[in-house]
Amino acid sequence: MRKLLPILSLVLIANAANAANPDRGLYVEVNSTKLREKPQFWAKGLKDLHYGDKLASAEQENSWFKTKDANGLEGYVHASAVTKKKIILSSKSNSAAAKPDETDVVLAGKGFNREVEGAYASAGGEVNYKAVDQMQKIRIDDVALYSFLQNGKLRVE
Amino acid sequence: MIKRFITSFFCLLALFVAGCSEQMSQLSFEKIGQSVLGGVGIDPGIKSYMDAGQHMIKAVKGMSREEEYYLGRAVSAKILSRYQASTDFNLLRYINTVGTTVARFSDAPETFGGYHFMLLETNQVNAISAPGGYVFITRGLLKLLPDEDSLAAVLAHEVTHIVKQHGLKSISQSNLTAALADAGKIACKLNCNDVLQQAGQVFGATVDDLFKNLIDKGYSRDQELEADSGAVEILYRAGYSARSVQTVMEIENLQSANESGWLKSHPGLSKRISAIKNSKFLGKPNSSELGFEARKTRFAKAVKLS
Repeated sequence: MRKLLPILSLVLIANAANAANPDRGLYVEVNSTKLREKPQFWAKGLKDLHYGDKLASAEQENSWFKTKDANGLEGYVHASAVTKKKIILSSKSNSAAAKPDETDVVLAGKGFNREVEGAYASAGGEVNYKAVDQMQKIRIDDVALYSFLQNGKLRVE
Repeated sequence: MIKRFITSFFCLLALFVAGCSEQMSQLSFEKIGQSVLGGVGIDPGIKSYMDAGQHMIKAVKGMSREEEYYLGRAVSAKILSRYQASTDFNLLRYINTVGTTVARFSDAPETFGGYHFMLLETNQVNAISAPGGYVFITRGLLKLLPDEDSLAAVLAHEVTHIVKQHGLKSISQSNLTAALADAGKIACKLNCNDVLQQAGQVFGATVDDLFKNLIDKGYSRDQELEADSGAVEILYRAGYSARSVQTVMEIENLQSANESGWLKSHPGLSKRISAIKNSKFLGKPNSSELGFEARKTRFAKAVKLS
């Protein structure tokens, strides 16, 4: 029994540690991205990921994380699309709520968000959000970009 | 036996407390906010929000990617109220493809809302970027560029400003305003319309501050040098000619337009060029020569048709 006690304590401590930090993992920090089959933007997209989606704890390979989604689907996500800080989506808007400690996401959704933008836009200042929305509509998909790179003899990873 | 059990118990207790601390910090944060705002009343006005913000400034560690996105949208909305956006879809698509290429080879290929590139219909010679991924180039500057690699150089320079968050850093002293907006969010339970209106005012003040820094004052000399250096690296990675950053700087007409445009706030050209020449990426071979003519041809076609 005396020999078993330290081992038992370690097991309990390990379980307690997991319970104390159940959110260890990655969080999607951009509006949308993809879980990819390989660590390349040109690789097949396995699943669309959205802001606040949680991914499993991951190992980093250069600029990519090898990770799993909540259903255990394994793939790669680019490091610039995720954070190790916790993101909690607020129920009222699609923004994220954040807590103030240093390890957390900073003020995501608590400060400047869609609602605040709406209030700012309706204040009558010289702003043209319609043109911004038009600007955002132009998107270059990966197929078109790949072809563009190939035709220009640019680097294709 | 008992001693070991007690030791184990306290280890577990310590872990339990550590696990709770996250929740505790959230609770105390909200309590601080609510008590402060409760003390100043339902509609305390901006000054009182500043008081609340001072209590919460420790909570402000920086802006989230989401906030950066909304700031960038607002600055872009101001730029696009001042300048006419191009409606030439084919040219815009070409510019966005070159821009997306350089963004893809930057250190931050993904932003909250993605990268977006717009041509401004003005003869001024300029290129501007806003936080979150918004890049603007004027028709006046585009006309002076000789080839796609030069366009990529200009866009890569602006993308580096975004990646390095140079715009946000210019308003670092205004972090308090973010805390004010946060204070407003918490108080929203009390009087949402008033709070949103006031948060909008705080947001507007931050946008104005940022807009002034980006458009009128410009980036610091070190930030410009960093953007040049970043552009050289991006071009090298992508397979463009890394020397194109220097090519752009040596365009004679661009230098003469320096007084009012893209180079206005930049360090002296000779200093920038000599700094670029020290880049380790200029000496490295890449395959940029292979497709240079093909890229130049499609550039001419895209720009000529517009």
